[in-house]
Amino acid sequence: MIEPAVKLVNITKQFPGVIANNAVNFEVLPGEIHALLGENGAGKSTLMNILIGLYKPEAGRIELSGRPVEFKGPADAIAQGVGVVFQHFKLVPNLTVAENVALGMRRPRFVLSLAKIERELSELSQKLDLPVNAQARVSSLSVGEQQRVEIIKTLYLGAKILALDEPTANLTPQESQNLFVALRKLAAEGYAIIFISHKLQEVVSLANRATILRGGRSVATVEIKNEPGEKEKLASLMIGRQASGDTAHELGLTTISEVAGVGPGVAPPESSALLQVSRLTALNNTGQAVLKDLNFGVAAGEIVVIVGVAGNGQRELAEVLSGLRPAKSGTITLGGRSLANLSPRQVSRLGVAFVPEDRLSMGLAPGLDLEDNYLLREYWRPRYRRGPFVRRNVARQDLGAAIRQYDIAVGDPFAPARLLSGGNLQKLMLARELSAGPQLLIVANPTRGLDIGASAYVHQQLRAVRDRGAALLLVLEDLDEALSLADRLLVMYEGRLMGELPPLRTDDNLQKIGLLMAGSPVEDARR
Amino acid sequence: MDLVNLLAITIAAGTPVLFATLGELLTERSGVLNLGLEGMMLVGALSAFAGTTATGNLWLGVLCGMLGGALLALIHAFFTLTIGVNQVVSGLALVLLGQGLASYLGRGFIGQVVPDSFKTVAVPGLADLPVLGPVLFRHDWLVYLSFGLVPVLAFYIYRTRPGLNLRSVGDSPATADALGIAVTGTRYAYVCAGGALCGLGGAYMSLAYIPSWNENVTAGRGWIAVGLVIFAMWNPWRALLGAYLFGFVDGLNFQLQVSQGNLSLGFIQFNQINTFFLKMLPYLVVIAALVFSQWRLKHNRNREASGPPAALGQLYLRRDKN
Amino acid sequence: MNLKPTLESLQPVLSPAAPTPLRQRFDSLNLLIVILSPGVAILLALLFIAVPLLLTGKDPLLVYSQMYQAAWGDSYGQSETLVKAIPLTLVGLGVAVAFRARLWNIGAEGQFYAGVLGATALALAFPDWPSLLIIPAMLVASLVCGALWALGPALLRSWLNVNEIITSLMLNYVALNLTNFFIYGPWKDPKGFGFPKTPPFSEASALPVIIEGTRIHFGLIFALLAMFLVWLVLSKTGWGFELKVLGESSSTARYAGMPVARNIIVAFVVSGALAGLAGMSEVAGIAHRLEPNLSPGYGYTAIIVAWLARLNPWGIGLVAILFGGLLSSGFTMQRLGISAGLVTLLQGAILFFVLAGEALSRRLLYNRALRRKALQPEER
Repeated sequence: MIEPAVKLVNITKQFPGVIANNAVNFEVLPGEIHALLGENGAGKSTLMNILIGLYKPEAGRIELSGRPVEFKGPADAIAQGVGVVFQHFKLVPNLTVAENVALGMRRPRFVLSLAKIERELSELSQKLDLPVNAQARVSSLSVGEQQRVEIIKTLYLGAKILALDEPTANLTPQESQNLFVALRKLAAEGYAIIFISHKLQEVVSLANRATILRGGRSVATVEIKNEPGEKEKLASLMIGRQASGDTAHELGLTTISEVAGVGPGVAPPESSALLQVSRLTALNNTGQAVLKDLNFGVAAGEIVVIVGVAGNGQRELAEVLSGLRPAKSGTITLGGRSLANLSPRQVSRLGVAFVPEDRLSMGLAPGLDLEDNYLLREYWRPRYRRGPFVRRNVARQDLGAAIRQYDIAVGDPFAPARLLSGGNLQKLMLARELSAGPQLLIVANPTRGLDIGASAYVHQQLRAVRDRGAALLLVLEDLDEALSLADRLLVMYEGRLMGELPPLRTDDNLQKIGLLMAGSPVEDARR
Repeated sequence: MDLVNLLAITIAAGTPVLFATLGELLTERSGVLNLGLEGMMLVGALSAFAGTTATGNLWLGVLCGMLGGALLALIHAFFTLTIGVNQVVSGLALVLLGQGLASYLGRGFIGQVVPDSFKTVAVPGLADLPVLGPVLFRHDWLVYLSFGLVPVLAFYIYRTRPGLNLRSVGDSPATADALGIAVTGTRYAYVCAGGALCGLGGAYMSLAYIPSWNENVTAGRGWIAVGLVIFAMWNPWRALLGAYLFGFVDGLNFQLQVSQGNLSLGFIQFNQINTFFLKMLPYLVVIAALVFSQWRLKHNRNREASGPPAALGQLYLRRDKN
Repeated sequence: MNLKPTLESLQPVLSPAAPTPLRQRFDSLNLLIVILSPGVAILLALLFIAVPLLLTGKDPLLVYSQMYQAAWGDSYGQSETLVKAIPLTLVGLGVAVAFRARLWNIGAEGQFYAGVLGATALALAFPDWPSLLIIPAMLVASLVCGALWALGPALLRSWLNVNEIITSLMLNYVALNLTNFFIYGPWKDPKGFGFPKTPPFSEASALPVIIEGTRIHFGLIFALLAMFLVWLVLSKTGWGFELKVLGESSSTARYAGMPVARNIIVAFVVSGALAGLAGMSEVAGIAHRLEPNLSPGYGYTAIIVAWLARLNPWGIGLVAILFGGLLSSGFTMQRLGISAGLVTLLQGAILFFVLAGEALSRRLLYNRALRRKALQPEER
């Protein structure tokens, strides 16, 4: 029998009010790709933090090749061969790649030898086929490149056991495929790979075995067989019951057409669209073109999704449409009236609502209570005003109604918003934005960081808004989410709309979408 | 009055501000904003003065000054890093505390002259160079110390492991923590180091620049240093530039007051300038320098490289504390 | 793209941007903290200051009782305390307006002097105007000058994001020198035997005393009126709401469609105008001529007043009385041969302990919220 490269035995970890890990057992063999599967909040991240010594468990032990170990911290863990690539990279953006690597090293103790690190990094990156520019400042790299930096760094520092936390969350399908190739190669070289994900398709196609976490417990470890029904089996282990309807949909088990009542919408003729955008261009904060000649429309009663990798202009598009960023040229009309270069207030008055992605830094005032946050974008409306004064009593009644209607879990009504969970914050923003009955609703990555239940609820609300006849423009980074919500799907890359594709999960279609997301023309399909 | 003389005064007048600016630069690089420079400089000046008076030894006096500054900085570190107090307001409180301490405890020294003070030491050989000699090489030991400090700090920040750790703590404390760097400990250390350098700046004021005690010797130099750190974009070499810019204006000011508002620099003539307007000048120059550097930042593509440490002014607390 | 790792998620919770709002007053624990913490802070500060007092051979208890006597011991002391509370309230309210929007206006001292200069210019230029004309004119002049003095930092902040702490503070030194220029130069009293002061103002331009036998003047009415107006505007109006949101996050304010740049400028200018008004009330109510060191640092003390009152306008009035006592006892201390630095020291120490109390109570409340499982802070 092969000794496991790493073995976690009965790991238990508590936080105030929550048991994050409860007697978790988990092992990985050398040369194995072992998936750690569970939905958000199942305790995967906590387990990884324990694995590298960042958190100390209340009970349980860690063994490396049969030998019990205790890590004093990440540096200690990596010195003994365990490294984690987190979803949020542990890189200092203002430092170069080589400096970031040096940061993780213990020697030399005083004067840095950056030139040596740069040379050795490029050798290692060539050997493992993971291209990295060691002299580049990390903030100038794309997400995919930063991930490669993390992997190379971890290996350079001596990791033999490599854990990756949700590594594909921000990658295009092609980048994901490249990553999988690299991971298989590393496994073949004898590294033990821990692959943390909630995406069943990836787990099934990549991993040898999977351990499933649910509610902080390890519920099962199974061999992965690439056969029909495997995903369903894993899914039921993951959520503790049979997946069905919307939930199955969130997990990517079913395609759009299989979900009752949801079908791909038919593209309406452009002239009838409620929102019409033509030849739109805009600049980013540093004065470079970030939106380049955009043309599209959104009709009443349909959901148009613009999908793309983060940083390709989606954020700026949502900002231009909601009046937060000026358009440089082009026209935006809503029911025939121009929206271009109006103030956010004027845009809002014309019936456009916007739910931004950054809940606590933009969409809400984190230190203020629910009432203030409910009033945030509405306080100027005649309903809430008497001369210069704000009618708080009206707002309080409306908020009460919204809390009941959207089932927002509120502990202390005067508690600041930042103490609420992400799902409740998202509900609060939706309630607020929908309160005035908008004609057009713009939403950016609404389910980021939410658990499956809250995500399903948000999706259900968005579809309900569409069914009531409003036009919805969703700006998404997650392709699965895009496919499950879209009536029409547009792909954005470097500020351009690359094309429109049907929101179907066929392999051929996914391949095309992925290529467009990566900015490749279709001829490159064989890459 | 000639330009060479003015430039020599520029160096001397810029030195206390240079020490303070370098100190705050280190503190801010670690992610802590300490606005209490004015207080730390005053306490440093007083401790240095008292130390020299008590021991008769100049260097022990300097040590006392640095210790005084560091102790005051330690108060700021404790309140902001351990208790979690707002750094801006804590810094303001530190100014009041330092001013109050210096004024209360220094009352007995008012009008006294320090028993020993730093004297000009001409560097053999170099001091006789034309122009450069009198400008750069006829100063006291503390000025030469400041000459050495700038390249040493620049090397330390950009080329050594502690410097790398310092930058990462100020830019991305969670990452630094994840890599096993003691974030709070590092910050404590650099807040105190910054305080010590401020104290050194104060010591220069009371032991070299104006070697006697009066209530408010620093006259806003601490605040000027806070502004210069921003102007310097957290780079020691640019701090040098900023400090000497202030030194030039301050030196000009000094010369004009001595000559009652009349000064000829060969290419410009000053006549009958009111002293009160002269006294405003350094503060206005710092505002202008700030405006200039912000304007450049706005038009600079590579902002992250020259902007403030990303975590400046923010408290860092790890979720898990064992 | 979000590069901030999850461990930073607690950061916004625990780094207090502004004092805990009194809004949570229904909460008994919070109520207790709000009431107790200033008292405890002052007590701790007195203990702390005992150290330098003992070092210099003074008996702290004796000094403190003398200070108390000076500020509260007799009706004269009490009235002088109230006299000092007038400018502290006005400047404190001004500072609070800026702080509410998280604009660090540290330049109230300069704005105070700008107001003084505006009022003095009119008083000297029109010595024969009747009260009904000259006092409103001085009032307007001081408001305008204070506002203008604050305009520079405000414009620079909204235009280039220049740090307003530095600019507003630098302008304090500029204002002080400008004032001295006038006192020693163009406005110097030719009959003043060479002393640096302006000629006395006309009788008509003096603010009337409202309590016979004291120096308590009409400025008290200004202060009360300002308290009411600032309270009304900050807590009841749409603009007050906008400032509150701006103080939380400027990107949220922008998203909410609020005019961020304009609010920064207006808040700063209002803040300066109130400080300018304090200057007019001081020069026309107390000094009746312009002399050096008219302000014993009102602009700085008012920052502590505003913070101690958690930016609550009524609270500012109360805390101002407390600190008015401190300032007026400072004058007595000087007569007793103790440096006025003691008062500055005490102010600094009080501020430290108030801040600490606030931070600790915030953490207490947060931990309690965590224990109530209904609240799960979002991880970012």
